[in-house]
Amino acid sequence: MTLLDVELRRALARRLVRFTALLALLGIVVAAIIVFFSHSDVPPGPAPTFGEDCVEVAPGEIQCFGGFQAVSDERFHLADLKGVFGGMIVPLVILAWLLGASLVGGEWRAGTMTTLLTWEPRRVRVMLAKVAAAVIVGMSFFVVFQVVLGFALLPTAIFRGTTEGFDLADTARFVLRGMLLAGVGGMIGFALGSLGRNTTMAMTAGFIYLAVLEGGLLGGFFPGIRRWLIVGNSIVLMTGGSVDITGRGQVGAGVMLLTYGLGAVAIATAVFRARDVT
Amino acid sequence: MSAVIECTALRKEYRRLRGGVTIAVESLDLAVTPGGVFGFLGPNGSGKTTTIRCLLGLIRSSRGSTRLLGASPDAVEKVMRRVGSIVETPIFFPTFSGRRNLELLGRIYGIGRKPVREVLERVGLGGREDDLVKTYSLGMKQRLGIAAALLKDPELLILDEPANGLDPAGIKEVRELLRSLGAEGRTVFLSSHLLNEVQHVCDQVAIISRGKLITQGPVSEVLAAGRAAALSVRLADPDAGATVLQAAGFEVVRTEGGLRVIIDPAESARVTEALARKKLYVSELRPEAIDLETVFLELTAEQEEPAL
Repeated sequence: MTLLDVELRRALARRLVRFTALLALLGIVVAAIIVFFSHSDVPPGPAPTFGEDCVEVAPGEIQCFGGFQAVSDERFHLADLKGVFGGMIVPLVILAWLLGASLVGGEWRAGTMTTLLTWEPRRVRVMLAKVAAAVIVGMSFFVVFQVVLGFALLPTAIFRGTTEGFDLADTARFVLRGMLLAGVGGMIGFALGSLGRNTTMAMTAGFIYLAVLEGGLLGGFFPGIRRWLIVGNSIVLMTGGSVDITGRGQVGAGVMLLTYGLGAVAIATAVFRARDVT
Repeated sequence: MSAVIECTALRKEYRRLRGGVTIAVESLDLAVTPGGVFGFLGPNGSGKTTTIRCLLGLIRSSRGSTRLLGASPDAVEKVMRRVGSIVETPIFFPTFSGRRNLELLGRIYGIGRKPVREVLERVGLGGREDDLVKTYSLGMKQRLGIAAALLKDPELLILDEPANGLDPAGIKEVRELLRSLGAEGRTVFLSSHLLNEVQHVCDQVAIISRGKLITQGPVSEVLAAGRAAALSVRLADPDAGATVLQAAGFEVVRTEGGLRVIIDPAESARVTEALARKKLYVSELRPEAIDLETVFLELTAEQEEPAL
């Protein structure tokens, strides 16, 4: 626990973490101001007359024979918060990946690993403390960002919108699933950073794997393999109902991703234990 | 007396990417007894740092074994609390202050703030302890490294080139610090290429070159073994003096303005006696200074051979 405490303090003091946190906070403030002033507290106008040619297919959405006709509603709906959070998942998971990779890659680049190992030579402990710190920072960042964003948009929902239809429990579950995904991203980023002893290598390897291999070659040429891929399981974990992508539910997808994350860390730990520190 | 550092037939080789191996350390046998300052000398690339990394468990030996306070590299964690070390240039987190860096390291062993303050004072960083490490000079970083090594209050200190980057005043301070540490009963294993410093500070030395041990022992013995002891003699008529001494059985070399007599300085009376008998009187007689640098260069030159 002492080592974890030390690693957490080091991680939180990193420039990348502080700079990103500041940038995120700034982004949230700007977004909240824009959202506030781009919405109106005026309730929606009268709905189109329902006739034999029009039917309401969703709240506020009337389908007429000529196509769709939206009811003009300039208010901010807090019920849309889950969608806003959903849009932030990919950047936040990439950020967790980067933080994980940077935490260990930066240490190798600077050379501080040698100093640390002359104090705590038990490499497995060192590795576990570092990966735990990376995951905690990545997951915390994800949750704090989403919560702060949620609170930043709350005034708009209260004064220029509506909180009607907002499901707190469902949104919280969504955020928690995203937090798990960020944790897995942090683990894999950390493992790659440790194996390559370099942050850039970890980010490049991640990009090549996810964008080129998973996104193109593997998924495209071997559709049967999709159920084992990271992206497909991540989609299932976050959206739930897309069972047809992987053939497993949210829990299965979560377990699968967690297994990948832990597996990557286990491999990185074994290599770290065996390799020379020069 | 059991050794605090032991290397037995230590070998470390690195595989080259294009095939073949580079031998960093070859069949190194080394034993360092407790107490005092032990100098570990060698030119750049001779295997000093590799040996230290093997001892600290940072790298694995290819063959042979090492023991640190009796512990093998696999069990080095059992003794690490008692070992303070610097490996090459000590590196700390640049965006933390010197004090903060040490406090974080100290936490690993439950070391509080007071010892941190004390070691920082001891190495001369008092007053700059709250500055960020990135603002430190190389010499200050080196001092911080020494402070970190001292923080565990260790019985064994392994210092790899601790005087790197220090100015003359800093080198003198480090020399005095090392002396005092040795006098406290700690063992200081000092790897260095600053031969003058080693000669002034160390009780024992080992010299390695190209990964091989050349000699090991007390400084005086290594100096004596490296080159024959000699006396420098000056007198009014050096030529006559040389003739007299050679006739008396001494080995004499004519030098500029005097003579060099190959003899143990303790027997200098024999030289003055032989000269005085022939009415030749010395104006100056002194033992020829043999420094470690000369011995080192002579010994390591013998090891020159094609690259492995």
